[in-house]
Amino acid sequence: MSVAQPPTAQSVAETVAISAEHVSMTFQAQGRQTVALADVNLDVVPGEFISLLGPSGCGKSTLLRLIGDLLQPTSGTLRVKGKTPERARRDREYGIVFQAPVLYDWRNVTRNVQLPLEIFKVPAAERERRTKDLLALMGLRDFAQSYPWQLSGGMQQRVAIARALSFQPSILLMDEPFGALDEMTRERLNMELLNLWHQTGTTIIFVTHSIPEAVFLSTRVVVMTPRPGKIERIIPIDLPRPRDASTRETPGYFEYITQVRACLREEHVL
Amino acid sequence: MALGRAAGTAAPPIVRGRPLAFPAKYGPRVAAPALVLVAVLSLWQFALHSYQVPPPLDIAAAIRDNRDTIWTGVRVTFWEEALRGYIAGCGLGFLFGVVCARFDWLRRGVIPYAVASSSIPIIGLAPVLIFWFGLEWPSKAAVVAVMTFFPMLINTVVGLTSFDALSRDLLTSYAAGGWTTFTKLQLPTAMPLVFNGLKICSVLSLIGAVIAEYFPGPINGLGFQLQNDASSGVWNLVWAYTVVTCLVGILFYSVLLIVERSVTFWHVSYRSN
Repeated sequence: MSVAQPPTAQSVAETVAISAEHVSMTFQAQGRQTVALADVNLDVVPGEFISLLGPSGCGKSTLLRLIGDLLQPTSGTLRVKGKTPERARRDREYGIVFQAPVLYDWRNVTRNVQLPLEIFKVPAAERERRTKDLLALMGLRDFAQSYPWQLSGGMQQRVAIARALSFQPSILLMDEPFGALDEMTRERLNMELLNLWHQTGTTIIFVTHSIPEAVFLSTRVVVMTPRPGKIERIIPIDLPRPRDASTRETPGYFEYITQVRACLREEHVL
Repeated sequence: MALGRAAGTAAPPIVRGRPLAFPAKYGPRVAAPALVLVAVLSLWQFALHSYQVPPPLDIAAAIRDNRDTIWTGVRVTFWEEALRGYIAGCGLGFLFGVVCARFDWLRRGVIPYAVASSSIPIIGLAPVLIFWFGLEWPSKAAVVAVMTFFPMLINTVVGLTSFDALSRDLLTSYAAGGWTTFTKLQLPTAMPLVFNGLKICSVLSLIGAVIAEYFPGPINGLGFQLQNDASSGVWNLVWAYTVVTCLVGILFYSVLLIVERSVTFWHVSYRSN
């Protein structure tokens, strides 16, 4: 990514990247109603790194999908840069990274990264240029012609991130992107993600069930609890930046982890 | 810091395929089946044959002595009947499959009958098709088309609808339309099953054409001559026609296999090769 989002745009719509007001989501399955989300309120400032943290069933993925317009709320209002989520999706504001890499096996790494650019009718020369930059940025240069099934899980997820960044979306939605990876790979990708975020200024919503991961990455951690899924508390993480491996050894880091754990314990989640 | 530099250079480069080592790679794959073939043919030639099942060398001689008639038979049965029926049946099956995959209600309505259709004795339709299309090749091709239509339809529909939900969500997040989803996701995902259908139908098409010739029609196809020689007890020729029909079928299937490999090289079933 060569160009960071300019921080100069100060229209009203852009002072809040994402806002959720009284958002609820009820699923109906076999005549039974399940309240996945109850009365969620959240404002996200542009350029923030927000983690949605909680156990399975707390609605964190549901909230992410609502923001990304892959689901529509039962009630309440969502606004993304002052627009409806659908409008924002059509304006290609979202880069999404799922827990699985979701790469197309019949496309090599380069062509996977170019998929959104093809759909957006970006000229071939421009596609090539951006892909080259991104693959270099993600340490995938030597794998440009490889197929997804020839790569390790961590590599595949890097390709997925490169693909999400290829069209320079203003919001990155990440649904447990490193959940299926081993601890070492996960920590390394955490670092890389932080660096990317610093370089691009993208607003990131990051779903995870790892407390250390959430604390390490985020500007704010949104702690969620299940039955019904709701926001329990929003904890700002004031650890100095840039954060690196040594951040994980500071007392402040452990204090935040303790604080989040205490919050989850109060709700009998831990 | 260059992101992922460490990981990018630490991992070994990926080499596609394996080094060519002839005996190790091709030995068991080619030699083992060849040995079995020679063993079976020898046993057949020298021990196990009867009046109705002549030894292989006699069959080979019959093929050699009747190559002109046999070649005409291949032209009529494969080129005029099986192949044309195959193209019509598979083509329509694929197109209707695309429509069924697009409209859910149509798919739900049609698929159960398409599956059940495999139990219909298509041969019962042959007289009807002769009545409609006449005695020449079109009626035989029609039998083949009817036989190949449903397997192709089912494979196409299942193939086009077997993509996973996240792959579709990804395209939704790009605000991709129906046509984009079809070309970028559904069609590539469907290819392994489409080729599965094409391969099954290649075998069916020859069976269909041979059987269709048991009914009134051209008198120079493989099926007609097979039946004719069987009723007059010329067993050498019966087997000659049978073997040639098999060879044509194997050739047809192999061509499809080669095309399939180049199109679906990415599929799990081919990756290790």
